Amino acid sequence: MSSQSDSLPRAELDLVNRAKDGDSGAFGDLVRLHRRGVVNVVYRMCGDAVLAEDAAQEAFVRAWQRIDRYEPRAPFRSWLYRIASNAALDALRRRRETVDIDGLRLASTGAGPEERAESADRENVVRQAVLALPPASRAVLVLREYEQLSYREIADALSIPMGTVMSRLNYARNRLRRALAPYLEQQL
Amino acid sequence: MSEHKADWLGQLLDGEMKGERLAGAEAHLAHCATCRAELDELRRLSVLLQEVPAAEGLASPASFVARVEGRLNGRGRPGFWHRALPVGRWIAPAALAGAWVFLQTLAIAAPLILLAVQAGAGGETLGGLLPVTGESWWAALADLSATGLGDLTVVLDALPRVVVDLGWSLALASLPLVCLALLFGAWLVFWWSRGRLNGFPATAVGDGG
Repeated sequence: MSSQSDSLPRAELDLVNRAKDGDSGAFGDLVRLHRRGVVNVVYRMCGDAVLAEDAAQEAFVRAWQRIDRYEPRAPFRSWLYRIASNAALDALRRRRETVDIDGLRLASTGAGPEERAESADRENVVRQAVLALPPASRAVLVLREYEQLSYREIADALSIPMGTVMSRLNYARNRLRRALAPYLEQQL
Repeated sequence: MSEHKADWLGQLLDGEMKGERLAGAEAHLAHCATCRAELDELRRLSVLLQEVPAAEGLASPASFVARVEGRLNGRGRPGFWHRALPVGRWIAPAALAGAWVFLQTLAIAAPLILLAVQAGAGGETLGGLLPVTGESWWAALADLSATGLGDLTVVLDALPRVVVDLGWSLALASLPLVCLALLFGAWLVFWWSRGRLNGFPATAVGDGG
C-alpha cells in the first residue's frame, strides 16, 4: 500500500486544491468521500456512535479551518485521520464520563436470541478492551486493524516514527491478547 | 530454536516485512511451533477485533454534510493572522535573531565608521565627538599600540581594569541574547497555548500537530 503523494488520486487532489482556495463545495465532496472512514475511526476511538458522529463533524470543521496547512506529501486520508483521532479524544475528555457501552448500537446478526446475546457480550468485551488501551496505542491499533493503513501511513497520520508505530502496535496487541485470552481460546 | 521472532510477528501479519527479513521470518516459522502459535493467535485477535461492528444508524451522507456545513457557517475560515500563526512561529525567532545581528553589527561598526568619517574629514566635521583629532585613524591606532604594549608595567597595572571591563563587556554582550531567549520562549508558549485553545493539540495521539 503506497503512502506517497503520487498515489493521491488526481480528482481528490483537485478537490483539496479547490478547497484550499476556499471552495466549500469541493470541501463538501471531500466530506462525502471520507465521511464513513472518519466516523469509524472516531467511533473505534471513543466507542459511541452518537459521540462519534458529532466528533467526526468537528474533525471536518477543523480540517476545513486548517486545510491550507495540508501538504500533499502524505495521503489526505491520513491527515484527516489524525485530526479525527484528536477530535475523538477531545470529545471523550469533554464528556468526562465512562463510555456507555450498553447504549451502543449493535449490528443485527440474524442469529437466535442466545447466540446474539453471546455475540453482543463478546463484542462489548472486545470493545471495552480496545477502549481500555492508552489513547496513543489505541489510535495506532484502530488505524491498522480497522482502516488497514500501512505502518508508513500511520506514521504520517500521527507524526510519529515507524519504530513507534510498531512498538505501540505490539503493546496494544499484547495487551489485548491478555485481556481477551478466553475469547481467543474459544476460536481454536 | 535459538531465537523466537515474537517482535516480528506483527509486521509479518501486517505484510510489512520484505526481502531477507521476510525470508528469514518464514524460514524460522517453518520449524518453530511457538512462533506459529503466536502468529495464529495474532490472526485470531484480528478476526475478533473485526467482529465489533462499525458505527451504525448514522446520518445519511447528505445530512452529515449539511451538518458540517452548518457548523462551518458559524465558524468560518480562520483569519490571516490565525492562518499565519504556524509560519509566524518561525518568523518571530528569525526576526529576533535578525534584530540581534543588526544591533551587534551596529555596535561594532559605528565607532569605526565615526572614526573613518572623522579621519576623512580631517577631524573637523565630527570634532569634539571623538577623542582623537586631527590625524588619520591609522596613526591614532599606531600611537595606541606603541603606548599600550610598549611598556609592560603599564599593561600589568591596567590588567585588573581590563579584566573588569572584559567581564562587563561579556555581561552586556550576553544580555541581549538572554532577552532574545526569553522572548523566544514566551513566543513558543504563546504559540503552543493558541494551538491548544484551537482544539488541535500537538501531542494528543501523535507527536506533532
